[in-house]
Amino acid sequence: MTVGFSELAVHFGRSASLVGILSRPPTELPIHRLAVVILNTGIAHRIGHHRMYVKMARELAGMGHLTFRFDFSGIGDSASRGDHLNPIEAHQADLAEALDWLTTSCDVNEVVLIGLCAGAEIALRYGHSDKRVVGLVLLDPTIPPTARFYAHYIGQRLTQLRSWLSFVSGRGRIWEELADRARSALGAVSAEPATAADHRIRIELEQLYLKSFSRNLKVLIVLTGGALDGRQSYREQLFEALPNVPFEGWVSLEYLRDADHTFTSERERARLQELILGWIKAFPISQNLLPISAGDTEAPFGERPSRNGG
Amino acid sequence: MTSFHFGSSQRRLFGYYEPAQANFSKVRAALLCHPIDNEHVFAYRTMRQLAARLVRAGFHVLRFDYFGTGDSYGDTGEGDLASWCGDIETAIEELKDMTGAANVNLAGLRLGANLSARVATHRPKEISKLILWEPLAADELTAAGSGCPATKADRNPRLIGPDIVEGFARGALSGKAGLLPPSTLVLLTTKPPSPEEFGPLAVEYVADASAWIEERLDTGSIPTGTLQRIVDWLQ
Repeated sequence: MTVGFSELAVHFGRSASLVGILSRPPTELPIHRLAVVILNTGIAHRIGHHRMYVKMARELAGMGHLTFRFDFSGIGDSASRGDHLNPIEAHQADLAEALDWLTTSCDVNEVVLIGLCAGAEIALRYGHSDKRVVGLVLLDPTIPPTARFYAHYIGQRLTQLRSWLSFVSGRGRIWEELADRARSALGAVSAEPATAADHRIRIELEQLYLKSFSRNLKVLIVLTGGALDGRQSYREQLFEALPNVPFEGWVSLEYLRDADHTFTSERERARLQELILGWIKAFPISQNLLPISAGDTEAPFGERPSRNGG
Repeated sequence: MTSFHFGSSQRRLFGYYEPAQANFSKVRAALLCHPIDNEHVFAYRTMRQLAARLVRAGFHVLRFDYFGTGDSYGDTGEGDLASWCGDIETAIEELKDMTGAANVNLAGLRLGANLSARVATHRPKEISKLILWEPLAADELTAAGSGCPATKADRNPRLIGPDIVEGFARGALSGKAGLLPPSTLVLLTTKPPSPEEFGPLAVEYVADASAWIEERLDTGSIPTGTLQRIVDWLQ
């Protein structure tokens, strides 16, 4: 059983339309200066698949870290923003408001962002732009394909019986797919972009990582072996896909071969949890403690509503 | 609207309360009971939309998470069917206390339907109307005890005893019809029921998307026809 935490339901943001859960360390424990913010995976609400973020947040709180899980606008219990920001801009604005709330209410100025898939992309886009962010945990972030990826991908598909049958008979999508993948692979081998979109994504990712590097953000990247088609198929793919980024010696990279994209296996979730907790425990500034006890800021948030009232 | 924790210090539950948008002469309250596991995640947006529609129709609405699920306290696997029924009863009391309503309407989706039915048989006079949206059959109820469908080792043995499953399963509903509130509706969206499946209970089939499958998360789409039917029926 997870012990040693308390939680607070919070409405925050410009019109208090964003909803989050703050996990707090037990009162007897000093609070680390380093807080953690966990981002939505796609449009799954703040608990995450298999409730993985709830357990993660409570374990982190038990280690002394304020940990905030919240829903981006339009997701979970958070209302849409009602302005004209596009989704990427809205996510960045929501995240800024979450950090502002942590700063204002809990005196937090050092934060690690954790995100899976789309959450990782949001964290990567935002992290370099806010001086309060000191670290990123990116779970299955977008990685451009490489020649070796395509070789793996096609090989895996051809080992599947149904694909073989289609292949041998010349039916089905495998022929078309093989042709497409082969064209892309050739493009990757010759270091030429497969498509304009691939090229744009590659350049954008490279710039985001380089900005994070220049800000000296600490970064943990965790890749899964069972990620969705079109993602990575081997540990070093990130390094080969973005050769201009000095990953080696900078990021910590872990490859969980037996995990799928949403960490369905409880054993793999436990491995992930252990990785992240260990990485944060070793964080260089984590010994610094906040001067105040978070939790003095509870009212008016999280209180039971009055009769019929909101 | 307010998100908050309620219940005893040993069993803190997360709730999300939205008051009726307009002043209506009669206080009407609705408690929404979620599925569990990933069905909870996939259906969350749908349940939120249902709450929003009910609020616009004049209901005070409380959604909440059972102990050991969602944002409520407790580790995954700590809950069991009987104690989750107790959580629903706690939420009913909370909702009545907050709103002043003498009775509440209950709407449960998937496992939430099975649990709501069990609670309603114990407190029929406090339940105005009961909606059982695609309750779980016995085999699904057994699987729901896993907490992680891919790994049998993860299953919570307290959830999957045959006596418990039989008492809560969809197939047991017709035998309990006399114990349920007179205004009970079984709502199905995946396929029409077999002729005798629910005995004397009112059953409706609305051909609509399944709110609790992963596709809902990928597409973000909502089974609006079903939601509107629920609101209309509760009116």
